[in-house]
Amino acid sequence: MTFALAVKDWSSSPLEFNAPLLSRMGVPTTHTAGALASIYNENRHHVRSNGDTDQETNVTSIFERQSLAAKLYAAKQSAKQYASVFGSRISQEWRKNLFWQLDELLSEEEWDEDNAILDLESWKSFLTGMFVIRPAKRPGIGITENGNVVASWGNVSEHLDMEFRPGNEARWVLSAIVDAQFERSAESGSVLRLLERLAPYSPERWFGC
Amino acid sequence: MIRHVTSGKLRRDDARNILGVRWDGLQPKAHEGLSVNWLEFHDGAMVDKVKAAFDLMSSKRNFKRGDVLAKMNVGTTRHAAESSGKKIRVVYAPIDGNHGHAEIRNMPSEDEGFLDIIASTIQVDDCISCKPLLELKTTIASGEDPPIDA
Repeated sequence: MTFALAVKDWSSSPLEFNAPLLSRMGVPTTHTAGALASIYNENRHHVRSNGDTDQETNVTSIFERQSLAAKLYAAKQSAKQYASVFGSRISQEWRKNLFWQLDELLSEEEWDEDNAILDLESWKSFLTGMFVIRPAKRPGIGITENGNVVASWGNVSEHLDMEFRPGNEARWVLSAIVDAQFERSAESGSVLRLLERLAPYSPERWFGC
Repeated sequence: MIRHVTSGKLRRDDARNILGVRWDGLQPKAHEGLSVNWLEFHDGAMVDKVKAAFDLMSSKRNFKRGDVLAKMNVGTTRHAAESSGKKIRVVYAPIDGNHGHAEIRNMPSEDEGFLDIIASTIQVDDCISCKPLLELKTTIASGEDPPIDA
């Protein structure tokens, strides 16, 4: 699907837009036709006149930039909605903290364009993991380049970083002092068996429970 | 040397305080060296070196306020790598627009455990926030006098 279908008659002014089609392509529905025309006009120097393909590509990139905010907003809303329904066992205070962290992570001004947007399936795995662990110490969360949630506990010398992948899978990297020995491990497994897998490392050092 | 680490690759607590750098903050692209800047390329006090390195890196990188510049010691990094049985090389590798650029080579991009060991050599105090550096740059670009303590 290209914007050639959505934006009719490149040379005419004013431009005509197919609003339902733009909406399906992720362009914010709050944009009026006037706003869309304004975005196009502000960026039309990017549009070369040597063929429709270039025009389509360039106009698409214009709207991709404009729609980043909409994508981040949609990701935040989906994650919050899911946490509100699925995560009813998370205390209201913790949920508020998680939502605040999400807002920070998915803010447009902080977003690294090279990263994938938050993967809702990873977020679901994270919430499942929190039910399994029930940590007294709440983690700080981050997002990997491929959109997975990472939960972090501990300090530089004794830490646990856990990446939650779709399908209740997790990959973790840890360092801990066990029996006066410094131990490190990088493993993966089911979110449902996290406590058993972490038991040799006395995970209460990170989770506080 | 100094490494640009984006906000999402920092280890943080639930109040978003920085606790360190996660292993993927030091993950090079496959078959490439880890991009860093050589602080000793610049003269002056440490704060001047960092500002100068930031200016050079800005020509190629898009910094955000939540990002940090992570200071890494060559000797400590090498020692940590050797303790894991791996030998890394730090080489000066200037690129167009960034003549202070260097690379850490032989960093295995898929070995999270090894990268975590290297990341653990970076202390919280080694993480320099990009926020004041960006603000200073904006102030200078606007033609205003920078604040005395900047």
